[in-house]
Amino acid sequence: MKGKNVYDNAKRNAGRNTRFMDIARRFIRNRAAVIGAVIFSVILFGILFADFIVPKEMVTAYKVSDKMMPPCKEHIFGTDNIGRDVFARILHGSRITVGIGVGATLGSLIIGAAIASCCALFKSVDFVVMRIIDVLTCVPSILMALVILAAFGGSVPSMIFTLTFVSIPGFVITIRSVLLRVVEQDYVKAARLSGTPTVKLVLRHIIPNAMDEIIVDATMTIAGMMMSAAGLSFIGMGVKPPSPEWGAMLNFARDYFRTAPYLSIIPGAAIAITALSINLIGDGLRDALDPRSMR
Amino acid sequence: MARYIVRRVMYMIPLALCVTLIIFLIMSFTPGDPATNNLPITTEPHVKQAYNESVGYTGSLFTRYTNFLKGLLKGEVLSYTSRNNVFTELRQRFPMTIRLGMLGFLLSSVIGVTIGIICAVKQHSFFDTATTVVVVLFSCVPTFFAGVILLLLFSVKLNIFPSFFAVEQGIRGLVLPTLTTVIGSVPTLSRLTRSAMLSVLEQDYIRTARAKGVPEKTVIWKHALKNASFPIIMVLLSGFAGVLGGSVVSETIYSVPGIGTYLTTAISTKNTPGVMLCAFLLSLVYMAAMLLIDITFAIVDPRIRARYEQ
Repeated sequence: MKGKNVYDNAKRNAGRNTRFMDIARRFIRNRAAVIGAVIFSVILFGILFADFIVPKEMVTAYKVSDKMMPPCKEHIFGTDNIGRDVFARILHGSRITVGIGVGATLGSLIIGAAIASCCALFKSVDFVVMRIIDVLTCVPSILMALVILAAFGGSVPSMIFTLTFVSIPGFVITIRSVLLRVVEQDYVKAARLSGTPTVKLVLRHIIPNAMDEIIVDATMTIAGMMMSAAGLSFIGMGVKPPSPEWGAMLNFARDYFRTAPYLSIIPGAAIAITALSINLIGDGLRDALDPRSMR
Repeated sequence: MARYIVRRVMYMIPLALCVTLIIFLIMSFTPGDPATNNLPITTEPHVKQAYNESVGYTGSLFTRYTNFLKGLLKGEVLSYTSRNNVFTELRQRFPMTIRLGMLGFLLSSVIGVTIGIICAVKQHSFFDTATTVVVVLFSCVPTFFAGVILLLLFSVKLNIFPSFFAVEQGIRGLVLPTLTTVIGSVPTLSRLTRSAMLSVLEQDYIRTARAKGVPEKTVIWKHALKNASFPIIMVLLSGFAGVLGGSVVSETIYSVPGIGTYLTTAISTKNTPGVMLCAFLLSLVYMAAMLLIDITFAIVDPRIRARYEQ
């Protein structure tokens, strides 16, 4: 009896499982993607268990007698100008930098997808939204970001809000073009004709079929968002220096980069490695989801 | 075609004004005014008010915006901080940003497009694999970090180039800022060019050309490149917008007296007219570039020209 059950389950799940397994298998075969995934899991581990690795007090705890120590056994990343441990700051700063990247991507993805769905379904909405986007794309996005940040101050929520706002137009444009292709498909037309309510139409028929491209796009965006967030903090308009945000740490280290270059290199490398791992995962996902795109 | 261009140019002005209106509204609906942002915290309220009046920060939202528009027409927009004409303040800065930006943009387009095309033509070769790895690595280095590394290497360790920008240094001062822009934009440009070129090389007409014995050189230069130029120009356009944004960062690193550094100070000192004028000019430059590209397309591609002439 038991054997039969397993067989039934396997049969029932066959459609779903093979697709998932196929994707997983293609992903694992991609060496670069696996490297990215491994690096990112280490970073994720650090983000999740930062408090257990190094207590949070270490971020601000200082010891002036230990200032400006280059990387050594006791402080593997060295100490800064007032003797704070750079490793503790990098570890806890990862939550801020990666958090802003993920938060802003999710925010603009959800809002962008909602707007893009309205655009794909209703011609009149599409016209209005596209005119607004025409205007918004003329403003250099960094200028927009600076103005909004100046208005709301450089806290973490306002960083997420700013980056979300600035990247919504781009998301609307890409998701809209994917959705327009899906909307033209026969199954969407059929669902529409048979009277499916609009919300259900979008959530059940349109979004799932556009998901692959959207996921890949979003993954790549996380890295870009992280770098923009760090860049804004670096020019002193984002999260301000006492915070261990990586861009802010780099900004702060500029004053010492002649005497203590490691203070600049470590947060910069942290940003680059995290962005690299995320991009490698994104590349691998794209190839795994759509084998035709493999190049 | 001429009518189309005129229409597009006419469309640019209201669009740029919309941009200034958006910036104006965001900057006005948030707390702070020139006096609060620039005078010490302990300043008496009436002193603050007098300061605001003296710099021209008075009246309702509507009057302030119309004042800006009037100033724009007269060519005399007054700054809230220095009371100088923003046009004269920008006169030295604008060419600086444009020069740096154009230099960076031209260099990175030439390098990026060349690398992209070679990679696509010699797909799966050693060169292709090696550059792809390098490009992926470099695309993850934020521009500002690349700038800091360049500074460390060339001005602190090797002491070849100055660590900050000064006009007297001439070309030597331009090297590092330009290099920073190039490092920032070549990865994206070459990656996009490569995939644009690859999708053209997959087309049937390329296979046909090869099958009928057209020399490989002609296939690449005449058949493939001509068709790939359309998406490549699109790639370059997005790169141009990126260079404008990136200049803010590289100007901050090298303290270049350009638009980027002007903008950051104008924003934090609540110099709304200054920010609006910058936004106005930058959006005009961006739209002019877009128009230029559309015209190029029309000249290159008869199909597009036909659409405009209807």
